[in-house]
Amino acid sequence: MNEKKPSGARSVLVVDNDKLAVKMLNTILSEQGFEVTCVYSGLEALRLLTDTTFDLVFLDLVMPRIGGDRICRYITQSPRHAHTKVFIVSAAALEGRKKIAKLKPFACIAKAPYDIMRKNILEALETLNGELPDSMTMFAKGVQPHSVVQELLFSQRHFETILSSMAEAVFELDTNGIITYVNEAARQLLGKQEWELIGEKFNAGFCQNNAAQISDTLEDIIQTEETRSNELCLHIQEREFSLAFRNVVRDGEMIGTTVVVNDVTEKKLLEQERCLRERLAGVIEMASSAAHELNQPLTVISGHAQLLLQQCADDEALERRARIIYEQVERLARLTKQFSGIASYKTKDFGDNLKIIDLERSSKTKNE
Amino acid sequence: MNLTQLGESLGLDKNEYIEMIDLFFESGDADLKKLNAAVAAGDAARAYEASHSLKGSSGSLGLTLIYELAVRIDDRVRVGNLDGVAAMIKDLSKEYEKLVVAANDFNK
Repeated sequence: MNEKKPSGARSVLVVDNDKLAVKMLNTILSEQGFEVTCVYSGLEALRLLTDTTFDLVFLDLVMPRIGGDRICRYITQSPRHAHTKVFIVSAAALEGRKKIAKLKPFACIAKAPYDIMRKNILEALETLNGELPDSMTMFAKGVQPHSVVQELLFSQRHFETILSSMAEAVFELDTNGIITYVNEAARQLLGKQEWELIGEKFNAGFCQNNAAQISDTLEDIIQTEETRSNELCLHIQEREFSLAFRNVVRDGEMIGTTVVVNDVTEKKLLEQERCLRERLAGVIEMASSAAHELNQPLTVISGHAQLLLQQCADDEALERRARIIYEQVERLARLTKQFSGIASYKTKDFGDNLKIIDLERSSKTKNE
Repeated sequence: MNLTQLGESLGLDKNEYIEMIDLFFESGDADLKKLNAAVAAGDAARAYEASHSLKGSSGSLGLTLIYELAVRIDDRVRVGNLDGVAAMIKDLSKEYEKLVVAANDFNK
């Protein structure tokens, strides 16, 4: 573990995909004597935060792939970053106030023209010297809320609500197979917190035993330039999962993969039951028609055997043979009755791993 | 266009301000290109992405004329209306070009 310690000036991490915004924050924070590290994506930030801690982190809220909300949750929920103060810097600070407060950052600063934003940042930094507030403080002096941003936030929340209410586990991966998004069902499926999953390799984070299989599927799907899907079935701890992979192409550029994971154990069991029912229906149908076809000749044989018995009553040897014929025909008749009474599909061992239908247990007509 | 004065009005020295203007050009060039292409293709949603980005970055640096034109375009394309947007983009491009010239003069 290469843990970086603040040396002299307090360390600050600035995360924003907008280079201009990063430059502005860097200028303001450097002039205040902070040691500033800048990264330009949520993923870069996560990689850095896995082995480095900072005193302060300035986070843009809206970034492609991994937004500031996820990084904020990662920092505030991760024990190793317990001392870190997160400052959300957002163009939607006023409009998204409630949502941002739920992320539990130290403060939220509205993006604004440089001079206004600088004043708000300095004011926010000043609060670090006094008694620390229990909840998020908003710094947005000189900034007006925008109805447009409200609309955008509403739309974003709408999709988040849909994704979080899905029964299927949804993962988003970048082109290297790194997890950049998980929904609620995905967190429950793996029994982990969001901050433990984001930034992890999907194949390792999901299931070590199937890592190679998942890697091959991901590699295959990422290498194609067109949108395509791929499926994988995995057995994990006596349950069966279906993984549907689909690559994501935006503006002609491959940006990653979505993986939708379904627990198909119950579905497979139902499928097996359905097969069994179909098999049973076939057996019953066959048994009934065989019984029906056999019944007529058996009745004829039985009748003739009875006549024969009467006609050879004086010849003991002949009479014995006619009786055997009669008794065996009667036995066959009882068996055909049992065939026509088959209502379930029970089998019994017949040696050499063979199974045959157990007539006694399968038929509702008992052989008396 | 006096970039030194603009920078000072924001509390930035001229070198810091020109560095930021250069970064503005990095995204601004791409945004303008995207905006033109989107309007030509009748893609208001994509045009909105570009105008929104231009609006934010120009506003941050106090580039009022570019900002105001970007706001006008933004208001229109956001609701899917591309009428007259091509002409607005021409005006915006002219102001943008003036800024490029001013930045070049500044760097000389």
